[in-house]
Amino acid sequence: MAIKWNPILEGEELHADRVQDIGQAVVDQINAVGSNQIAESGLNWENFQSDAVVIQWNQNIETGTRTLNADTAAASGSAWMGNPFTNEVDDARDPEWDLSTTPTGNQLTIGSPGWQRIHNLTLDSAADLKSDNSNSLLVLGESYAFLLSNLAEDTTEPTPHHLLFTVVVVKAINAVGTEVLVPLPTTLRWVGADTNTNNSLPTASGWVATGYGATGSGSYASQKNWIRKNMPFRTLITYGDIHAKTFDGNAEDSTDNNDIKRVLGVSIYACLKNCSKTWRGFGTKAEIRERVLTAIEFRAKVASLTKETAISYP
Amino acid sequence: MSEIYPKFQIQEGTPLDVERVNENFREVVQEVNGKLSESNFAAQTIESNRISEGALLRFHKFYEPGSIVCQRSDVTVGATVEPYAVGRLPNTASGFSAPRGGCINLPLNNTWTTVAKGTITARTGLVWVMASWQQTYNVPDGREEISAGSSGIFARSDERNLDTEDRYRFFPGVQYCLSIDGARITETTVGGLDSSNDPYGDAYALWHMAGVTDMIFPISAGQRTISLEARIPMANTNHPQFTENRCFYTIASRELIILEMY
Repeated sequence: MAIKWNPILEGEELHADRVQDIGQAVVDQINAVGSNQIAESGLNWENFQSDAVVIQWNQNIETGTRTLNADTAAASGSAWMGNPFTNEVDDARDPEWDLSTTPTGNQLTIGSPGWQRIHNLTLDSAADLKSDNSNSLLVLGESYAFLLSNLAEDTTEPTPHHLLFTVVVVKAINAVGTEVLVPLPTTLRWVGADTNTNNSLPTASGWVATGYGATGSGSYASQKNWIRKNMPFRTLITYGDIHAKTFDGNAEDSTDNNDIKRVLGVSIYACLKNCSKTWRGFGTKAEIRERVLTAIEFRAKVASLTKETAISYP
Repeated sequence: MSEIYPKFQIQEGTPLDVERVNENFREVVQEVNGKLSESNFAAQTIESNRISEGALLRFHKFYEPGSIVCQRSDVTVGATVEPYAVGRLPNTASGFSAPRGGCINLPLNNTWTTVAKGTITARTGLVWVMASWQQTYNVPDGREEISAGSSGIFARSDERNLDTEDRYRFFPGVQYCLSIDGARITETTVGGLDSSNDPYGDAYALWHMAGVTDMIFPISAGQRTISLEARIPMANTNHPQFTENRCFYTIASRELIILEMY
């Protein structure tokens, strides 16, 4: 809305009120500036207070080596847990990941064997993700998987398949005020130990070295223990991504205006799986070096959330 | 709007002249009625509650949790299928045309396949696009060195057996890139044909891989479709043709995040 401009007329009796009225009109206008009164690309980030777009950002970098060992002595039913889509207990599938929307309990099985935390980031202050999606948490991170092998270091194992899984886990506060770990299915990542038949390598398979024609020769490739693979991810965490009841106990999908899901931090969890040999006959070992987690809480509307297919959570 | 300085300095004790007062106000009023810009606001004065929702930043997110199954059934030591228990690899499909929920299989036709896509109505400005995905591969019938088959030939890993059915060992890798309205952004391409992505440079391919690529890109106002594309480049014609009936790459969980910045 433009300022009404009534110039002072010649001969008009001039009082302070008259001058103040004009000044007040200018002040009112400036205090109620509409978006159409701002020049396109006319404002700079320096014009805004620091929390206008970013509420907080946190980063944690870890450089030490983290070693994971899958327990070779584990009994059936307790190893390599983490399936995001089924309940292992019922479906005999792994890795187990028991998604639950009840207000209590972690939603992945922690331990050895099982999921183990390899990196953690605690937010400076809790992020209250709102049901209207007016804020969100952008998380960027990676883990550098250095070694992936069986515990026996048996590099002659024919065509081994050891898998290292990672997943981003949210540490949320549930309805009764306790911390609960909630994994995010879209962040499930895994790498395997690549194979090769290059017998000049230290991990060359004896099967290959004997040459084509001999027993077992040429048929199998050996694993590469030193896999040196990066496992990066990007994820935007919104209210609806956390499969748990709201902070005040409402249903997971409640859209009440005041509903929030309170996040204290994010972590990277990892688990191992041996797909070769008997599943527990050869335990698996992994070494993970650099890990990075960066979380930025944005005051930014999540305008659209699109998902092609419907996954039925147990 | 530019910075404003009063046109006339009216000193104390000076008689007021109407035109001078009007002129001083006119400068301000004209400017305020025009377009304001960064020079009209002091640094860090605009508070968050004065900014309408989505005025500065706006997110869009496409996400898909690809379903996988890893059978845990035990295999007895010495059993016929041991040690080739490939059934416990992450299974993402029951066939090329039947991916598990949320997964996308990549065809072997050397063309780009859309893995994740978001359509937005954007204003003129910058977009920060981030893509994150999990690549894996699938051997539907478990032919990975399991049996000799009718030919009596095991799946070999050496060049002399390239004509066997299970030659997926020589699969090339997968390329990924971001695209806007169908135009691929070359600089965002990751992955490739050969084994150069591998630190040793000698693996056949990166079968299981977690990848990301991103960009900050200027766009003009209008409806824009931003996508993550993937393809298997089949440049080496010396290798026999692979078939999707035997093996293929699959994209499981993935996420495409678009941040509009103004």
